[in-house]
Amino acid sequence: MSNAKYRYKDIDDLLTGRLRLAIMAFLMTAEKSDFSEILKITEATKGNLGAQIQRLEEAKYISVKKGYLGKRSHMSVNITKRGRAAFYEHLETLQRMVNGEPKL
Amino acid sequence: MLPTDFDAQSDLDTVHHMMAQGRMAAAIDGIHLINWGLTIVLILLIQYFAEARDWLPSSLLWLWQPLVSIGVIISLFLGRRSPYRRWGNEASRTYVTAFAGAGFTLGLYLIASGLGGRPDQFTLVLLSSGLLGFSFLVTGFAIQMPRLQFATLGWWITFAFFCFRGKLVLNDFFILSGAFALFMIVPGLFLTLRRKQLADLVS
Repeated sequence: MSNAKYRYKDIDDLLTGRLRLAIMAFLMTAEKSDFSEILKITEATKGNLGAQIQRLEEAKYISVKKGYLGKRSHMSVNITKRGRAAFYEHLETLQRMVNGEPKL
Repeated sequence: MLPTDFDAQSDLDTVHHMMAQGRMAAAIDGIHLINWGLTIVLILLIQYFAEARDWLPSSLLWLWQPLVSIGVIISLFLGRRSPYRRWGNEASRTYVTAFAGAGFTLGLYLIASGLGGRPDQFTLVLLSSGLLGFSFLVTGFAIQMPRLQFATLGWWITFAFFCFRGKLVLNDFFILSGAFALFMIVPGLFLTLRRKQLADLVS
């Protein structure tokens, strides 16, 4: 068994939300997306998705750019370096938990 | 929140699923390569028969000018959806930059040399094959698809063949149309197939 200790502080509260985690995981590989694509893939409601995107943006995990594509409003979403680092860290924590290392 | 309040395995499953969705969404579908390849093969064959059977005057630059214009318009139309839209994605950015750069260089050559008369076809063949080889090289690395490098090799062999020969003959329109079919349409089909496989994995 590994000597690595599991600490609850390692858990990123922002990424424990399933929808926020899903958005971040999608952006890790897509790198850039937009509101309508994420809405379609996550099958979330517009209001909830908007709120979760805003929380991730406030934490500087993603950057959001609002504009127009033709006549329609368009919101593009990019993952940031900070978001990428936080995601990797959270992923490692999840893997440590699943691998059965000491908890608390 | 205590760590036991959520299910780590379930979160990991979500992560795997969403990362696969992201890969699929960002995958290049090869439609540009197929469209450009088919159009160029068609034009090369028309040009061959036009010159071989004397259907049209030998000065056929007018065939290439609308081809380039139509191709650019179709590419821009398709680009509004993908992959230009995903400019933040490194692989898409590399693909677009490589092929748009090659297209721009060829277009510039056609326009600039066309102003002073008919562009030299031999130079055009060398430029096309060299630039396309380079574009496939960087795209193959960017999207981590080693089998795309057969197109790089094919274009550079074409480039070396014409450098060695030092001139163009009429039958070369056939050789070139074969090169475009093998080293542009087939890679386009590979990319489309790969995207479909990623989509199947997700579903």
